[in-house]
Amino acid sequence: MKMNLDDPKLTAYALGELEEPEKSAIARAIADSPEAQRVVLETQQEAQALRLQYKLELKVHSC
Amino acid sequence: MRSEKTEAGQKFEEILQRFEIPLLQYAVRITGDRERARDVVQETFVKFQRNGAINRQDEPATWLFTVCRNAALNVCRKEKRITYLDEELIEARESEQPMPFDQLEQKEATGFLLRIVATLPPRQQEVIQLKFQNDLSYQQIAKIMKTTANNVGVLLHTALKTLRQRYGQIAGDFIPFKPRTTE
Repeated sequence: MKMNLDDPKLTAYALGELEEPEKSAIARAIADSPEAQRVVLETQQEAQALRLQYKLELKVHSC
Repeated sequence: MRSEKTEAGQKFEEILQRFEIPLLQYAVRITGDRERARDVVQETFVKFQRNGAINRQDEPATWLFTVCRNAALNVCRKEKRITYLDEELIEARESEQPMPFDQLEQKEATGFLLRIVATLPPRQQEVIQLKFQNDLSYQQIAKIMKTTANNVGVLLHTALKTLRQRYGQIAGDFIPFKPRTTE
């Protein structure tokens, strides 16, 4: 399956939102696509950065 | 009896501590007014205690954010505020141009990335906040925003893509790329 890099399912996969069998289907599709793997990694890093910023913001407001 | 009351009180305290500020920030974004938002959050917690939601075993986040959102939208309707959105206006607002970058500095200084989030259309900001501040699932966010999980996925995907582009654009402005030369 050719992976569309602008597919919201790729974002859902990166964020752990997909259920089986869709999850395995996407995993198989990105296995052969370094570009799709890069998008997944970037999305996960972005998610982590956002979670961190919100945590910091909560700390500031709690002080 | 006394210990049950104490247990319920302790549970309420824990929930208050965990959700008070996230709900306040959520309500501020909808109403555009900190004082109104405080009233909305207070009303949410009063309802939470009174109608027995506190005694339910399931995760309280969906309940709290749904009630908070409805109360905040009611404030907007009553006061005819246009800061946020009547339900009917939401889709129309989606097509609005985002806030220009030159207004970024006027926003509360909460962090570089969150200031870029503030330039996104309202519904995209909402899903970002619910997902990454409160760690809610697509299904939970869909229930709160009265939409489908599929639509939440599209909103989040679009928001994250735009954030990446704008982050790169702004970071590039601060740190101009200068290739090394052999000279």
